[in-house]
Amino acid sequence: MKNMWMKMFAALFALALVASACGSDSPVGDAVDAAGDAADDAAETVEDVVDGDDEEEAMEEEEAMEEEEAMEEEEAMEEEAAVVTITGPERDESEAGAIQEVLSAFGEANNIDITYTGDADWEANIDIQVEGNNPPNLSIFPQPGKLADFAREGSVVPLADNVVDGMAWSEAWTVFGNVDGTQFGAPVKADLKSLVWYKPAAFEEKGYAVPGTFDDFLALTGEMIANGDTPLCVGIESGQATGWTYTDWVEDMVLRQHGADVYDAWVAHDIPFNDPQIVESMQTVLDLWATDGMTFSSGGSIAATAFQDNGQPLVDGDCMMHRQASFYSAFIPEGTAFADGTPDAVDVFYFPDIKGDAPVLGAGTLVAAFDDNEATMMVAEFMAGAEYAEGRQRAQTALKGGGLSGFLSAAEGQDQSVYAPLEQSFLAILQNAAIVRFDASDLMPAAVGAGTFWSEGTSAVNGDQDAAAAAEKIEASWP
Amino acid sequence: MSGAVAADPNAEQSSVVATLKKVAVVAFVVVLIWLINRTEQSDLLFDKIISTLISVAIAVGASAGLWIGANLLFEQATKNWQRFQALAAASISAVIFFALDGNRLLRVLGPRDDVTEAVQDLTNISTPVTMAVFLGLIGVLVGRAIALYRGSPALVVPSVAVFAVLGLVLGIYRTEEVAGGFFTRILWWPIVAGAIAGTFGWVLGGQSDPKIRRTVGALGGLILGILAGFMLFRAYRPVFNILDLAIPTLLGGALFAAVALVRGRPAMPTVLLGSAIGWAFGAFGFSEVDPLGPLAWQVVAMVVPFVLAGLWASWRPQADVVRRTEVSNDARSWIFLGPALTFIAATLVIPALRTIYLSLFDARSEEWVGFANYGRIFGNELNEDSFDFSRAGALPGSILFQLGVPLLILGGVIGVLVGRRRGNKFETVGVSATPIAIGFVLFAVAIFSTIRGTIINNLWWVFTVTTASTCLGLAIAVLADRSKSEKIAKAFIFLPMAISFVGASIIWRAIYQARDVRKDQTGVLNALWVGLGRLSTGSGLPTLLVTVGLVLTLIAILAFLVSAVAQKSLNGVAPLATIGAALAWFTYRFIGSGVGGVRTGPTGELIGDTVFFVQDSPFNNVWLMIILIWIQTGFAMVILSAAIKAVPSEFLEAARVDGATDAQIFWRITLPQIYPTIGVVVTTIIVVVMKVFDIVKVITNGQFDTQVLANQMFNEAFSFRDKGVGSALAIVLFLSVLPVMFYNIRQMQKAQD
Repeated sequence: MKNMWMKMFAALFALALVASACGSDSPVGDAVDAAGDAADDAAETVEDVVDGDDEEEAMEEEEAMEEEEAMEEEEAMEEEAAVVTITGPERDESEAGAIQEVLSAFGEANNIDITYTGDADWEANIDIQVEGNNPPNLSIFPQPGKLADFAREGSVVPLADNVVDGMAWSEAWTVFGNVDGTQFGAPVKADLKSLVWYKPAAFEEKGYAVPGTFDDFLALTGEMIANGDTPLCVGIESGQATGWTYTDWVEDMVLRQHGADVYDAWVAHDIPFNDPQIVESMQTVLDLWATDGMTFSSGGSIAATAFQDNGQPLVDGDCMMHRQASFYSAFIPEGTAFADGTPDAVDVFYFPDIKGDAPVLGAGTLVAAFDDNEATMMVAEFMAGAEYAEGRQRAQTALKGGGLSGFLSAAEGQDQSVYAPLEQSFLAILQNAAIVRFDASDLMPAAVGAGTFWSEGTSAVNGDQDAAAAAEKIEASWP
Repeated sequence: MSGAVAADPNAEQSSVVATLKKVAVVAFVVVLIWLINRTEQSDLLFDKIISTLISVAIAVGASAGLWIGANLLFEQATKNWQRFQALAAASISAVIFFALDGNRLLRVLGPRDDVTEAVQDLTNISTPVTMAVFLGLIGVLVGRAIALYRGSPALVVPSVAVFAVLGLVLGIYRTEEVAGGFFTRILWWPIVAGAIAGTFGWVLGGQSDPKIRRTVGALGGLILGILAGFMLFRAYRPVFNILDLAIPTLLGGALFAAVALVRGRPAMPTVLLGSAIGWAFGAFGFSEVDPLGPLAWQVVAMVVPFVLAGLWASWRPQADVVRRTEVSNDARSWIFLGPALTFIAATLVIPALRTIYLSLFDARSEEWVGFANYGRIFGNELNEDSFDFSRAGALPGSILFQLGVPLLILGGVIGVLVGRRRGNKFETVGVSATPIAIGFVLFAVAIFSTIRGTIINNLWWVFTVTTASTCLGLAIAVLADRSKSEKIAKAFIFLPMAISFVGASIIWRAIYQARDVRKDQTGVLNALWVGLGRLSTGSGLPTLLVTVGLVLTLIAILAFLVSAVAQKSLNGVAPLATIGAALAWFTYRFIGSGVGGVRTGPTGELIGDTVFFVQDSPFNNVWLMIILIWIQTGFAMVILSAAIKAVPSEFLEAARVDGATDAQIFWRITLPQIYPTIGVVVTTIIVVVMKVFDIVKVITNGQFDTQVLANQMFNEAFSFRDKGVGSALAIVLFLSVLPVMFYNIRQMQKAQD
């Protein structure tokens, strides 16, 4: 009899282990946990049927076990913390570390066990998790378009009133998380794209002035070319995402030439992609770049130059200006000072507007919830506030070892002193902005925004077609 | 074992060596652990290593345990029928309950119910002692098994000890992180269900009165069904629709009845089983789900199939000895086949079928669109055209075409002329075959570079990479055969095989890189190209030396050609003349306008002229293909080299005795002997090339006119979230690889014969 029972339990045990590997979030971790639990619990059951020699042992052990069990239960009673899991695409040690640090501090104060998981493959994995009915409590979305998809499918839940009321961001930003009139996402991070990087000392030396209007900007480039300087560094190569730099330029031009309403209509496909206004903006960028002596491309041609490779020539003086987003500080060669008045320091100015309406092209991330548990919403509320932004900025600066953190938040009511001088100038631009628009390619359907807008744009930059032809092909690919 | 060791005269020595080896291994492990502990992130690393080891142990143990368990179970069929019935019923019910409860797809979100939470808290214990006891019990089992195998009972105690200590260690290691209620979450219901089913199985196994049997079976089904309904009351609640349920139920019954009739078995029990399965499909596969639906529906949904199954199990009369042996024997084959079949089904068959199914639906897999996705692929309606004839008009103007066609004609004319002289229609000799081969390649490349599109591009890849890798591999295999440096040469050629496609792509991307002409080139090819340009247009000593060298070489070639013609020995004249002509052209350009990556600027100054290997279409495709050729040549070489070595040396010796030249031996003896192997190599490479993905993904992601099917599939399915077109592309790829695979397997079988 004894043998038979043991065999049976061995089989069951094996089943349990295989099953645990199949059924859990992370096969390795849980399988290990499962081994522990299954082993313990099964042991308890087995003891009842074990007889003879083993019984004495089992009796003794059971006593010992009961004591420990009692102790553990007491402990468990004391700290019954709610568990909130968050996933997001930011997974750099400094980024993920800062998020975890600031959330842990909040969690400890409020008895919530918060775990942030940065995932390089976030975009694919969140789909899988939702499909498998196994989403995190909260997730950080880099694209409002994807959030809107999820909201319309019913995968994410509307934010609770306390979160909506607690958002420290201006209407210009919160609107990105608003889907059909309901607030599904709260902004937690901002990127500023309408920036031009330059070296103040080099400008001073040559007598160039920071342009205040777009015409000044064009005049300045002409002056530079006449002086034998190369005005712009441009490179649009970015591996699988080659072309996004061009789309950013086009978006900035659409905002400047035609205004926010046309921009919104363009993004929503209320006007076709090959609308003459859009084609005009696309062609403006192409013509600007094609001007003789206008661009320096370290890779020999714009399409062959990695966007990351433009920091070095800017520092070396191969070009005078470089239009890129706020996060570009990460690609400026190490050791370069930022906006501190030293001769080699690098600074930014606002990519000037045409109509004087100071539009800003931005991007950022939004936090959205997959359930409306109290703890989940508490964490969301915290993340949408100024305190989170300050805390994260402080933590991320520390983790980066000083200098620029790479993080930026437009939340109102932050203590500005946590930001470096250059970052404060980003904030100033954000605060002066009357019009903020989200990166259009992140809002368009992926087949366009991460597909033809990039590829046809690249082909146009490469000189294989003009803007009208490219726009026509992009329009044809709109799903 | 010990007896055998004692009989060995070197026993003492070898046992010392063995002991030393063991000590060395232990010392190594200790040092390794010590080193790991010294590193900064030792905790994390140690944790990972332990977790990995435990996972591996669990995976191996679980597979072995399942297999042994199944064997033991079916052994009972002949030994003790009643016990077998009980165990079988228990395990099947446990598995079913586990599948129902453990499956996340059937679970909906929401608060877990209080009852299971409470049970969970009660039973969630994880201490070193319990772990030690439980693993100790496994140790008993393992010890017994070893003892049975070795024929001595002495091993039980050490086995128990080892496992108990392991359990203790695991327990201590794991105590701090008590994982939340896995046992009760996943295993509680299966165990309860298993116990109930086991009891009913036991009773059934001992009953032979059909009425009582059926009553018992139905009752067991009823109890289990109610249990299952309650178990799932927080999960899946089908909304009943009589059609959704009736049709699958009737279909299942009919299907099983038909199978039973064909096999000549009694229909009734199988009809019951088929209906049960049909009902389950109807309730769980076709019905709408409502998490807030009435519990009663849930219970009914579960009770019906369970009662039907219970009746099925009890319908047949008690099995006799013949039937028991039959069950046992049938089971053996399934125990051996089962794991492999399950694996293939789960990883290959089911995904393939599902892909076909998804390819007939729209982007979100919601609406049936028939073959529209395939229509979009072949109708050029995707982001990248599948067939692009827009540049076909440039074909007659391309240099490749203008060179290739005359070469084809030349080869053909020579072949016919030579053939007429020898009395044949057409003669394939070096002078006719070489121009035809070169002309054909040029002609093919001319076509592929003017007619574009994803599918054509894929064909270009297949053509170029397969031809080049096989020819190069064959050439190297032949040339290196029996030479002094054969091993080293082959090792170097084979080395790229060890590099992943992604790694190779990154290496080659660096090689192809271009920089601004005013800066130093960092890519090797552009550095050489621009360097050559500067050399040929320069005026320094290096330029002078190279010029003199080139001219001297030309004179030497000319002298050789003249003397050869004078002596009327035409051997080697044709190739050398070709090389001489090419070199003459090169020298002319080198001395004259210059050759390489330099051009004259608008004001007469010389500026560098880099090549954009990756960006300039259409020949950027060839530069990408070279990466794959670099990788695949080693494969072709190794396989073909082995085949060449297998050609019987008698054939070669006989040919030599008859006065055949090396070339004749190769073309007339070696090559025909290795045809089947070449077939295998070619088809294998074709399959690899058809599926090429990584290289394009890493370097261009299909931009600059380099798209291939596999990358397009990935983009459509995962970047653009169009599952329909993505699946359709996968199927197109699959169908085009299939005949090649089929031919490949046939060739392999032939090569083996």
